[in-house]
Amino acid sequence: MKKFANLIGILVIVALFQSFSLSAQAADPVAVGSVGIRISEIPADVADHPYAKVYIVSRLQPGVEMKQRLEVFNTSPKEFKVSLYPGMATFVKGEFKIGEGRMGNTLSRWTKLTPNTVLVKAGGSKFFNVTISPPSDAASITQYGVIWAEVEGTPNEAGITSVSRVGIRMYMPVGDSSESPISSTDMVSTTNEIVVKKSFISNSLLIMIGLFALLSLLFFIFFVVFSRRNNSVRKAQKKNEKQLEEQWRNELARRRRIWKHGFDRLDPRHRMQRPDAREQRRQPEQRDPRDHGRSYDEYDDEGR
Amino acid sequence: MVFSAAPIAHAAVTNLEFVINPYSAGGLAISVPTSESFTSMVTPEISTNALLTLGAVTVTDTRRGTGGLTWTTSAIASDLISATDTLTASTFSYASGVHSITGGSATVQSQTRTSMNASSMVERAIAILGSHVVSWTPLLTVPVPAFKNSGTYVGTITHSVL
Repeated sequence: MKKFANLIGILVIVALFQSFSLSAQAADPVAVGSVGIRISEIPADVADHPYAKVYIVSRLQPGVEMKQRLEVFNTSPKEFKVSLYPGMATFVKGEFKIGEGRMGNTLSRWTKLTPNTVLVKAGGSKFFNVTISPPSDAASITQYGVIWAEVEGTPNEAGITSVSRVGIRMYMPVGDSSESPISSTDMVSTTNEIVVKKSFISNSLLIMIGLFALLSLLFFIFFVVFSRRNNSVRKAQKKNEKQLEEQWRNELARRRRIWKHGFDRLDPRHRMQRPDAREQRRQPEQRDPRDHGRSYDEYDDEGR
Repeated sequence: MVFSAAPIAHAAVTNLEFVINPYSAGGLAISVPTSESFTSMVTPEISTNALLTLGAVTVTDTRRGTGGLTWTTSAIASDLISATDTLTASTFSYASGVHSITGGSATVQSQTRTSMNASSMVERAIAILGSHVVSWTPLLTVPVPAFKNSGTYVGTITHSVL
């Protein structure tokens, strides 16, 4: 118990140290501020979509224009020129992959951003509109893309320009195409869902299997208990037999000794009780008529 | 909050109703570029690595994830070009080093890169719960072949988060 308490104490100390080191690390980077992007208006038809607050997930209809308002914000102490542009993306094996720079795709060609450059003051934010106009012959597939907000730093003395950009993903089913999963983690959960559904279909089978398993478990327990009990009975029997055999062997040895030497040699008390025993033995003709010089073992064990 | 937008002349527009995103600060943000300084180097006589510590990259996620959200930060570098010579981005290495996470909870993974000519993941967060800030200070290793022409090499490194 004391050891356990000590262990808990050590764990607490370790945890404290870890939290200290973590907070020390967290304080390390200098706050330079950030440029961010967010969805400010969600189309009503996807208001219940779990990802509508963070991604553009509306369903597009061929030939129908769609508009959504986004916001770009600046938490840095400097004013920044933010470039806004649509970019390409692909969704392969549950992974949302982006293209390089301003590389485009079908969806990015349908997408117009107004305005496409905004000056965002320190601590301020600006709205911008995303207008997506799919042509009337747009194929019924899901289109992927990104709305990028990009800020470019000034080239440093080594000549390297740092560029930071932050994006909002677009997962947009066109026409009657099925809705796509959002990310790889979602892919996993959908797979789980399918498995659960499958097991629901064969519900009765599941119950039967469970019942069978329960019964076999019960049988197994009974078997173990009974076999153990039988074992103990058999053990006791064997022990008894052994004891009896031992007793019989002892008895046999005793009888042999008596046959050879008579009671008197065996126990001095017999001599006291029967003073004429020695005399009787001196006269061999008076011995038991059954004795013909044979050993005891040559007789049948009638008493057994 | 639901409201009707002002009537729009375009007949084909169907999305007239909007819901204001209830999270006034819910968004994804990346730190603005800093002007970090690098020391210059003398033209090497043998192949030498130039180590460039970039400014800290901070991703601020205030989207209030509830487990299903992720973000991925990718990085890409252009070739570094001088008036007479080039250092190719496919030879650059990128190491995130130790990242810190403040607030919320998320599984943050880093990936060390040995080639920077394509946009690929360097840091990502999965299983996000709540708003959080993740920060790291990348180290860019630029191999400089022997007797490279002297001059100022110019290029771009881009961090993208989404």
